[in-house]
Amino acid sequence: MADMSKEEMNDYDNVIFTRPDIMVDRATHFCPGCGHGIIQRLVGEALQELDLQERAICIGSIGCTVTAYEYFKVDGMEAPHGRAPCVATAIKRCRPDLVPFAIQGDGDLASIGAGEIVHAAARGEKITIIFANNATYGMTGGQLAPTTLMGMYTSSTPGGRNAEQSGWPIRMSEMLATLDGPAYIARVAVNTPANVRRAKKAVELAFRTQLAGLGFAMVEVLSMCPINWRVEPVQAPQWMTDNMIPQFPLGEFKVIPGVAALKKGDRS
Amino acid sequence: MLISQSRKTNYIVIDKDKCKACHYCIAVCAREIIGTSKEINRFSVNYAEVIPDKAHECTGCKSCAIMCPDVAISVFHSRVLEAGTIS
Amino acid sequence: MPERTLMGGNIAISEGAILAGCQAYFGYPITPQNDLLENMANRMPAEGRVFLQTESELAAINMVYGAAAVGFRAMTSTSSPGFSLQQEGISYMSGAEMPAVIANIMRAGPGLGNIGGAQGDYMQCTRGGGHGDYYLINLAPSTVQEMMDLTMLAFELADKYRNPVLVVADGFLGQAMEPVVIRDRVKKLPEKKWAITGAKGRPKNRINSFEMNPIDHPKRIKLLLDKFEKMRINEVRYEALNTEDADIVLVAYGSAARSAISAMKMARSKKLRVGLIRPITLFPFPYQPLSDLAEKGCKFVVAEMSGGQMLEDVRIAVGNQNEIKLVNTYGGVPLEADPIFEAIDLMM
Repeated sequence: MADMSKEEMNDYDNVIFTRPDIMVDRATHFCPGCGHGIIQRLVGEALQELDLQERAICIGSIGCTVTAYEYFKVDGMEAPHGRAPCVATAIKRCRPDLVPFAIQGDGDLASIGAGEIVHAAARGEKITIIFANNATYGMTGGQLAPTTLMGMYTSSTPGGRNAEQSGWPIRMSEMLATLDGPAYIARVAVNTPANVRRAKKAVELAFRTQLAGLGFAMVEVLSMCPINWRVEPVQAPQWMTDNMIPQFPLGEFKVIPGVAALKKGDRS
Repeated sequence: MLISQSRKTNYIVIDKDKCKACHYCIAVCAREIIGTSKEINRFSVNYAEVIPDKAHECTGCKSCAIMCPDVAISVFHSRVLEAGTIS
Repeated sequence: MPERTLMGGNIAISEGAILAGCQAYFGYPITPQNDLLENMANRMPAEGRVFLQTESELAAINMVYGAAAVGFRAMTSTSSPGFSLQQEGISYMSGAEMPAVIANIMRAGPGLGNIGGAQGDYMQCTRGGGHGDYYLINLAPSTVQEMMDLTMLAFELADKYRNPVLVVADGFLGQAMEPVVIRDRVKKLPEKKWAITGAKGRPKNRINSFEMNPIDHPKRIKLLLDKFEKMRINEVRYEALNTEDADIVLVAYGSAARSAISAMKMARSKKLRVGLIRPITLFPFPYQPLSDLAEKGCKFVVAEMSGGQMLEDVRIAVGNQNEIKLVNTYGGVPLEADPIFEAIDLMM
């Protein structure tokens, strides 16, 4: 055993991972194994590390994110279904010093909100959107979502999604990346520790993009929904690997030079 | 002058009242130090808990905490003091 | 000497909003209020305030919600089809107790309808309009001066009650050009401690329209209902012309009231005792003065540009014992004085 200096001796019990202080100390309303729990924590870590407690405005949407603002010690508000990008747009244009961000599910963002997200992105609104994509409508019991996979059972496509009736899933990140307005668009996943680490970097970069005034930032996060995928929670990460990731490839789809510079500057 | 030395170790603390027994932590722990309790918590699940005999094998990799959707796990480095000398 | 100038109706709303300290305007083009949007596009940036043409009326009302939430005086304007789109957002704002001003420059409906002026949104405007238990104060200008003045009042009442307020006009009034006295700018805006301005040095604020706990939600609604009752008691506004000795009382608002006033003058010149009640607030509706006149035995002529919507409120006020006649046009056709006068004549 190596001898130690007195300084080293004082180095007791370092916390190397715990709940960020900016998060309310409470259990979540999410189902066991729900990806939203991880996503929310990543947002909390970003808010804490970027010291945004006094400036952040959390916008909850419809679905499982409806109480998002209850989890952070920041100002919060609701948005009607699909309209979070509008609410965030107005907040940012009225008070550019504030940092509005929204967490939206796939129904909220890609179905009823498809128009609003396209235009917020096209206008390059300096907001941060976290898009939790679990290929289903979680809160309402597992109906068809715009991102539901072909052949996938949902409660409103009991025979499995087929093209004749319900068309094909939408890849929002790729679609929005065709616009000139966005500054940063990425798709990540939270099904493995390595992916969660990468997701955290993307979420943080999406906030830093807003702080640097560079433009619209969205991170699409593939998320587990074991209940509506009808698997045990512990099987959900593999289900995502097998089924979702082939349809929704991970990666960065838009990184403007200013955002690339932010990435480069960050060696951590 | 206190005579001692120490070695580094790691440990996790699981908040049983937040755990929903999704088993993500159990699945990702490379050293398999997490198991399920025989007791149930307020969610009526057998919550995850550290297996006492295996606790010392924690490497502090944080994979469990990173995967936990309930933010139920904290991870610590610790110094365990044992007999020895300091300079 | 206050400045006096010739101004269009829609422009008067726009300028009134700016005088009242409107800090954010979000709107979408729709006839017959495009000039309101365009005036805002020119004037708001020049005043250092927020302007945005949105992708739809849906987006506009939700941006008004966001702006209101950070404590800004915020406004949108639209016409009937766009107003229909905004019902969800307005319902949310009323549920969340947000102040805002929405101008509805009505046109003929239902559906695509016609771009001509109409008063066919009366029921929608006065009965909340969207889902749930809520009401909005409706201010109904009848002159271009009132387009300005009532818009300024709308911002005051919106902040006073923390509820959206409607300025209900029609396409004819929107395009009318009349002399207007430019009012003084509002100097001081009220403080809004509830606004989400960043949780610095205070507990966090939260703006939403629901309670997770089912026990709490009815309590929340009760607070709203009490508020609407206060509006009913305190905010009724109307104009009474020549009603003291009237045998026949005309009831009309907006553009229809202008024709009704002409008809009343025609009648008076022929020694017919005709008066007018002109609601200025459609909600809260002036039931009491109509009810009082009904007790005196008056007959009523309701003149409106719809299939007969305000007629129902007049019936509620007047009851079954007095004659009520409807004189109306719809489908974008203006209501002129002659048919109203003919109805008076027949009634006598």
